[in-house]
Amino acid sequence: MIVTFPHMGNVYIGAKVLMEGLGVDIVIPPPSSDKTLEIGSTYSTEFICAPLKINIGNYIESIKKGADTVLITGSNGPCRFGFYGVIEQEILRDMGYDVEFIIFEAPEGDVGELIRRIQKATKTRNIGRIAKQIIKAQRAIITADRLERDMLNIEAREVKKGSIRMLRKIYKDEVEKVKGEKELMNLIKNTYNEMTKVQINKDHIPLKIGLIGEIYTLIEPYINFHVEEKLANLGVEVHRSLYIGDWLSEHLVYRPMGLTKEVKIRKAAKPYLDRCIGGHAWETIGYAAHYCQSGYDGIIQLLPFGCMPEIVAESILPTIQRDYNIPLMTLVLDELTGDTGYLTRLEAFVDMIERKRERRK
Amino acid sequence: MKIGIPRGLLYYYYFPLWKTFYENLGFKIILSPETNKSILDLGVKTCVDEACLPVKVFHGHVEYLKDKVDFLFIPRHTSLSYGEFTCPKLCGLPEMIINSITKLPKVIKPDFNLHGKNINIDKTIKEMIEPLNINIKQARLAFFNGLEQIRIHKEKVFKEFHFKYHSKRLLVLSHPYTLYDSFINMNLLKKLENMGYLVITIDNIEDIKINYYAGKLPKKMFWTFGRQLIGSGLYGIAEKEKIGIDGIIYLSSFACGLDSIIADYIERQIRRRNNIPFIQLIIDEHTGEAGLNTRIEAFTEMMERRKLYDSNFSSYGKCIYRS
Repeated sequence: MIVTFPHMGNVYIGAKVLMEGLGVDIVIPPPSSDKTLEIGSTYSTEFICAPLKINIGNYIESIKKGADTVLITGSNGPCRFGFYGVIEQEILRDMGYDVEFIIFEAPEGDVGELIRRIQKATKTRNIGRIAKQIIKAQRAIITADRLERDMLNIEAREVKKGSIRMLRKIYKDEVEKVKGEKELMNLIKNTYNEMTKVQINKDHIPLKIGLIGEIYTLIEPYINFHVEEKLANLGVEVHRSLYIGDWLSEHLVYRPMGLTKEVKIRKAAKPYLDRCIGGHAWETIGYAAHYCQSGYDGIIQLLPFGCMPEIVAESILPTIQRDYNIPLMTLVLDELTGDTGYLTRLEAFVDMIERKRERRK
Repeated sequence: MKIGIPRGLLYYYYFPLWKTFYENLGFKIILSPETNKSILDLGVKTCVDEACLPVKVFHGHVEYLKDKVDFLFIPRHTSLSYGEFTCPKLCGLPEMIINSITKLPKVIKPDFNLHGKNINIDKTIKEMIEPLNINIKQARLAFFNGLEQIRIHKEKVFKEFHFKYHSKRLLVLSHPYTLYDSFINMNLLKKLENMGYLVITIDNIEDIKINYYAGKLPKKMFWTFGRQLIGSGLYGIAEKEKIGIDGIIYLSSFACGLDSIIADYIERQIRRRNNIPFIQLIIDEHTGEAGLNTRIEAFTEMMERRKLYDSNFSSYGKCIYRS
């Protein structure tokens, strides 16, 4: 059994730590590229959201490298993501690939089945060992997330443009080669050491932009055209609402105990939307209001074309914009989005909020 | 006091309940007219661009009604049966309306939620009469009268087609809000009837069959309409001789999230078995009627010819993948 999984931001780092720690063979799909999306959109249905198309591309590229089992999580919400496993299986079957799917979910609340599936995927029955590795993987993801966040903060303030970008490139190349948790942590430590050498312009007060929207488009840098790096390169401090590490700890640790870390966000969302309607609409609204209250200069919403919960959020956002008088832009992403047009809109948006800040002074 | 009800989305299923409820309590109901060009234009103007056609049309109905009534009734259908949801856009419908249309009268937005094990109908009834100053006991009675009306309505729709006689039958799969709105679907049902077909819809198929075939999915379908559509579709494929259908038409609106999964699943099943003609018609606010007519005519003609000179293999040879 050689397992693979779809790309989503830093998930691959966690999967590597988890599976290599347990001794399971794993194929990490090549980073998503135009080729990936092309394969995906050729074979998947027309109106499905963009994440599924990239997933299909990822699988096929992995299968060509030898994978024969696909791991994916599931859900039971009103969002389409719950049916990804089923429809992806159908697509691959029609393409003639015979792969097995292991979907991590508790079908109709059956937790025992979920544990059996995890045991099957990890080829061990020792739950203690699995739990230990999951904790390690989770820690690796959170550390990698933090590194990325710090890199972006420095990139917004660096004196010599492009020095962080070089560092990031080296880090991304290295991270695919390292094996196990220890090497990964060492690599992250070394990168931090390198980062302290980058000169910072202390007089520059960067603009602050909050990124909200659907989780996949926020987290996967390919589909959003590396929006965070582009904004950081323009000298903007970016804050993203969702990180995969936080999302995992929210759903694996807090929610099962009936708690939530997002009390503040839910409170901020209350005047506009007071319930979960599937996907991340609630978080989108909550973070939008939260960013407005904490003095951000602008907000950008990202969504894949046709995303049902985000369309509801999109129609609520103009009210928030009116209430707080903060510029807000919505970017819809799919396989036909052009790079240049996208960059132009980002630059125009940044210029506009820059001018707005100057006027305020 | 006038309560406005927009003629869109789940109006086509639950209007008997709403009407009985408010008329028993002594209110006057103002219903928006059947969808027409001007209502569609109003909807397109007010709604966000990415939404699907039925939601845009609903916006248009609200925009039409808003100056004519004292209260506006916009239901939120979170869940229509146990363990299932509806489309997220229906779950967030009141928010969409309130935030995209200005100068609304007071909005009544009850939440119909049958998802959990403990269903709180009383809460829904209270939300239905919230701004109206009505006794809850009276309201409860009216609500149960309304439920009775829904049952009668459903039975009527279910039985309706058994009284007609046609030799040729067709299965049309669609959400009720595109199927019964004759402006959105450009009179599809009437057109098919004029061509001599008896149209079978998801409302004419027994629940037991729908649930049996929907249960064949590897995973529980968590949308109510999804379950009905996929159950009827698979039933049509598996027992087409028994129902006597010649083909399946899937009518969906552009960028419909549910249909992207369901129609694709049904289409793949049909491609593998290759036993029944299938067409997916996609409509949006720009669809021209002539194009739709051509496609329906071509499809029906193809079905006729298949019956006459039946060699049952497609003109391009083998079942191929789409490219």
